[in-house]
Amino acid sequence: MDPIQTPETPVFDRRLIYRPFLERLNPIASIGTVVRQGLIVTPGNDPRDPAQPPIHEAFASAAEIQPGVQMALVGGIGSGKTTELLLTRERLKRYPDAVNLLIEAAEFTDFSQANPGAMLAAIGLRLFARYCENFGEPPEEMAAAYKRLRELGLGKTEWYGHDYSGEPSDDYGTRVDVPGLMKPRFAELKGEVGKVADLLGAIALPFLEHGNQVTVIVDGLDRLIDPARFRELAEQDLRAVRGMKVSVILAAPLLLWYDRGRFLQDYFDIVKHIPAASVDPKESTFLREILKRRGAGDLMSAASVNEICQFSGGVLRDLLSLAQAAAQNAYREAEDRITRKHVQAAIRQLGNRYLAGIGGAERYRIRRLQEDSRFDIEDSNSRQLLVNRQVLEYSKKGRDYFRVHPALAKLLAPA
Amino acid sequence: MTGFDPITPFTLIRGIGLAGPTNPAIYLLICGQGTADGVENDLLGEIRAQLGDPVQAETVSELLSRSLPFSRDSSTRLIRIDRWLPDLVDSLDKHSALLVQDGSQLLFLAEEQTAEQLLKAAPNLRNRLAGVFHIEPEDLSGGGTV
Repeated sequence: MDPIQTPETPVFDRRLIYRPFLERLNPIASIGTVVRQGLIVTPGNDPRDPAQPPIHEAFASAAEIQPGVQMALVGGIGSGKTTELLLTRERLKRYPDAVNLLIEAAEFTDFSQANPGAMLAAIGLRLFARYCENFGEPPEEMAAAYKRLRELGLGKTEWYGHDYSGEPSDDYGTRVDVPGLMKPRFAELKGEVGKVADLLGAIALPFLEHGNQVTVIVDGLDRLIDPARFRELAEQDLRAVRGMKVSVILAAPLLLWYDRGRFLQDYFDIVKHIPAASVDPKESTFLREILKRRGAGDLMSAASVNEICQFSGGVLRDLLSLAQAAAQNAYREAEDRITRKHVQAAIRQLGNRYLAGIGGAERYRIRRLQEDSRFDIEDSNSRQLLVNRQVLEYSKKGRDYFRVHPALAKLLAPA
Repeated sequence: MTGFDPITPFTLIRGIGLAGPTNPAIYLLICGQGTADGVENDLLGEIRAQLGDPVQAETVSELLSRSLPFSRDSSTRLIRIDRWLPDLVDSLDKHSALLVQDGSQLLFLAEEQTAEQLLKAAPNLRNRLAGVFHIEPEDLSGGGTV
């Protein structure tokens, strides 16, 4: 007999199963939220060398013992660079005198042009704000440097012909906007880098005199993709900061890792690379731990978790996207658990995204990689495949190798 | 471009509602030629009905002509990519990490060719998409024929 439905009968609400899971799995959730919820699985070691400490630990230690050190982090899209940078900042907080700035590159560049000086200006403005926050009234010289930096960067408005006597007047004078070297988001500062660097030095000085350890972490420059533009943007600014005892950590484009010019390796004191994570459970449980931490074990079998790990290719954002898509597929089909068919559909959806835009030239290179393990990183089509994550880079025991993204490979495989 | 799962405005918005109104997400919705108006109307109706939120709908041409950032007074924004603008797409790609930083939902609506160009030209954005679907207007005929 069917149970009698009364208004008091609790109604089963499937949303209550899936909603918290989807919130925890959101691959583009604010990283601050993810940290606050304790969802970050901290890597136990350097992904390229299990004998070395994790990247954030290496970065933080270097900034602590070598003030002024300059470091770069490279990795493909969705590989976990922002998380590592955030973990670095958290690690640096262990000393109360640490002043850590995390700056998103979009704050000082629209990426359309290299803009030497803009990064320095952004650091200066943020450092000044931090000083006022921590210590209150800034020293006179620091305040003057800040004012000058703002004027240089953002411009100023002056009124000519205005009666400043305070008497009421209909004549408000003529407004004259003196354009700055920066637009609201930092325009042309070229030619002024030295001046901006001096002003930054004046703003940083009180911190350094207090014995503060200053570290600036810049995320987002990897989105420049083109190594030449990154070099142009970063080189002058970084050179200007050298000697200031301000440590810098930057996210850099993946292609610089493979650049023949070896700019990264030659210029930076420390360079770290996050390759795609190992999907082999015998080698690493990292990917499984991430899904477990986000509650996947409650809604899917261990086999489904394994399948998602495998087809993520070790790209962390793809790992979360697959689990999220599988959960949405299950919800749409009004099922209470995520089953294999939902996971399979999610893998197909991800593979289709990677398939979009692949033409004959790319297919040829993919086939060559699959059949002969040949992948020429100097070739422009191959580099594009790598940037777009259709091909992934791995590292095992010091050896680098490439594989087609497994979700894409599955779609391309003969039926 | 084939292979993307079909979805209706009702089902899509139900999924967004499931994830919660403050759970940021970006979707790329591919519509058939000449169906964009119908799909857009259905989407707006579903957003209002299911999410009860104000929604901001614009084309990229309008966005560009205003030269203004997205308004922040709605939690769902529908942007129809009515023409291919490489610079704008490049900019969207470079700033993809910031597009829904406020916890909003962003729906891009494009016809097939444009959608394919977008997926190819914007790898950062592609990696942040919560889903790519072929979206179809609601079939209100009940499956019957006239």
